[in-house]
Amino acid sequence: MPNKFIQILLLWAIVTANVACSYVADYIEGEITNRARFSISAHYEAGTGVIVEWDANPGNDSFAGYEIYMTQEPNNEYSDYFVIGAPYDIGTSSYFQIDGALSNSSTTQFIHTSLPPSGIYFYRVGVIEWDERDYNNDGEDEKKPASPTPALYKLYTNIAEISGSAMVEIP
Amino acid sequence: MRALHHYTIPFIVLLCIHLFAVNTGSFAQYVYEASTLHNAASRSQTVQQIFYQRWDTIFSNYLHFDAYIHLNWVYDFYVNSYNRGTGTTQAVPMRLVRTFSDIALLFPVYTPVTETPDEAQPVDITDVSTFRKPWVDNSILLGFTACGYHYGLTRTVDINRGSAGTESASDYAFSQFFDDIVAITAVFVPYVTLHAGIVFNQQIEPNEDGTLDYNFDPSTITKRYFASVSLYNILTWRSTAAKDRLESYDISLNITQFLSITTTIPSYLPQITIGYKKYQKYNDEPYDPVWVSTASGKSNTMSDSLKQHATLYTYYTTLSKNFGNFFLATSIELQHVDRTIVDKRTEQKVSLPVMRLWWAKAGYDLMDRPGWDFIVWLGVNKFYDPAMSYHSKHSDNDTGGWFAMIDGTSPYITLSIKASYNDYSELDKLIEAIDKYIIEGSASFRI
Repeated sequence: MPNKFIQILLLWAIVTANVACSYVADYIEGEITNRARFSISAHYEAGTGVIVEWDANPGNDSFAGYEIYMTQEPNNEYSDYFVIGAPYDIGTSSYFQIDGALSNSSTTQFIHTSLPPSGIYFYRVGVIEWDERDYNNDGEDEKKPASPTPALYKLYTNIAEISGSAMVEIP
Repeated sequence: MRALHHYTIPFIVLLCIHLFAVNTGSFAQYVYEASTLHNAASRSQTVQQIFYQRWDTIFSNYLHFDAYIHLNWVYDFYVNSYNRGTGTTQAVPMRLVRTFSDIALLFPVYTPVTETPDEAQPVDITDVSTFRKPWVDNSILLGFTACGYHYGLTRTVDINRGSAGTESASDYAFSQFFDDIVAITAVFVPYVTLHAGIVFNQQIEPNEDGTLDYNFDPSTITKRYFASVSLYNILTWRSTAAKDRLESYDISLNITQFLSITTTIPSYLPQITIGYKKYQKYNDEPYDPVWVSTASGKSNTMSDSLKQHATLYTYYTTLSKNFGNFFLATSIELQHVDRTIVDKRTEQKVSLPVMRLWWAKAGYDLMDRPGWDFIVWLGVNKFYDPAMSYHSKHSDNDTGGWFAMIDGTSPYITLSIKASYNDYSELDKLIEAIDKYIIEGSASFRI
């Protein structure tokens, strides 16, 4: 009986130390609502553009790429965002740039050169993942397509993780 | 499939309530300022309330293990926020998120040998009565719990991914509150049940970019201690203490159980519980709607040593009764305060009405199998709190409210979804939730 007691107590201690606390439920809710999880930096450099840097370490085998977002309105922190950088041509604004390096998980920098008029803007970085589905019609779901295409990217990807915002003043 | 058909209408009703709630953005807009979320004493009451609810479930279902999660969203908070783009402050729509998780273990450390062991009955995992047995009299059980509640405002932002569609993300905004309980439970069946534990209250400021570092810093954590004793599940005493004072206690008596010791209770009688609560509710804090004793010389920046305290006493009666698959329950709560309280805005004395609260709820179980429930609940209530008009644009201090809930239970998993509007249990936790729709979901795994 004492051994059983100690085993159960240890199990409880290990499980509760790792699982049951206020952080856990918050983390789960954050996953549901796509909570900003990591910080980035962004700054304007004359002659270069806005340099956005991050360290996201996506490390999952359904990684599809990074996307860079910017506030739609100048001088408004609470504006919605639109995409201005992606590995494929998905953007609809004139500030959008395709950057093939964004499909590489080890990429940590993006230089935005198609800049909007002067003002304060906020940037974010999204980690994009493939939806799990049957890409090769073999009756079984795959984590990513064997040959990614822009069409598949537009249809079957989602934001897995998103950064907090970084403020940049564009002169 | 035919059974599922019966659940379609309640599901559609709740779905409509949900859609109505999330799409009524212009309803009851109010700029959120002072926050009672800063009231750690009140938050400690909330987390304990759920702790005790979980243990009621564990005891009544003879569980050894319970893992539970509960997510609650309150919409339509308009919060004055600084916009780094414009350099001005503006009302920004936010959502209050409240999440709870719990993990509890209960196991026998001593079980007397019974003369007629009942091991012949085969176990059927769809029938709880074959594998969940009542605790044996005179056995000793030991339990452990860790649970935590998080409260905080979040802001949703839309992300336009061009031809890849639109998604949304959320940022933390303003202080985030994390309250955790670690507790131990001992039971001498059926005579005594003891709980004792510590509540850790922590407040973390998010980063400017909307992210949060879970920096567990003991120096910023305040502690409270709680304990409860229940005798024969008839007489129950619960209390909470801060480091220098007893903040609250609650004594309740289950009249029906008490009478059943000496006499046979007629089947038509409901379960009747009476109780008495004492809670040091008003403490001259900035978030309190009233000053204690007098407004003279008081301010929201006064030092702790000058603050006065008033205790709210409440007296409640709860009746509950099952009629086959149909459940009914109702309760009333009366109140009085031990000192004069003065409205902070008018500096006039506040006279609390005798009736603080009444509620009634009805449920119907659409399944009729032991260990399996699919209960549709509807409830109404009337609730008074002097903070109501202070923390909202509500014109007076009482309101009616309702809730609708679907509660599904299987032997190992439970699921629940609830929609409410001015439900007393939500207002009692956070008065700023007044005139707002609340959506809540919960799930548990149990053995």
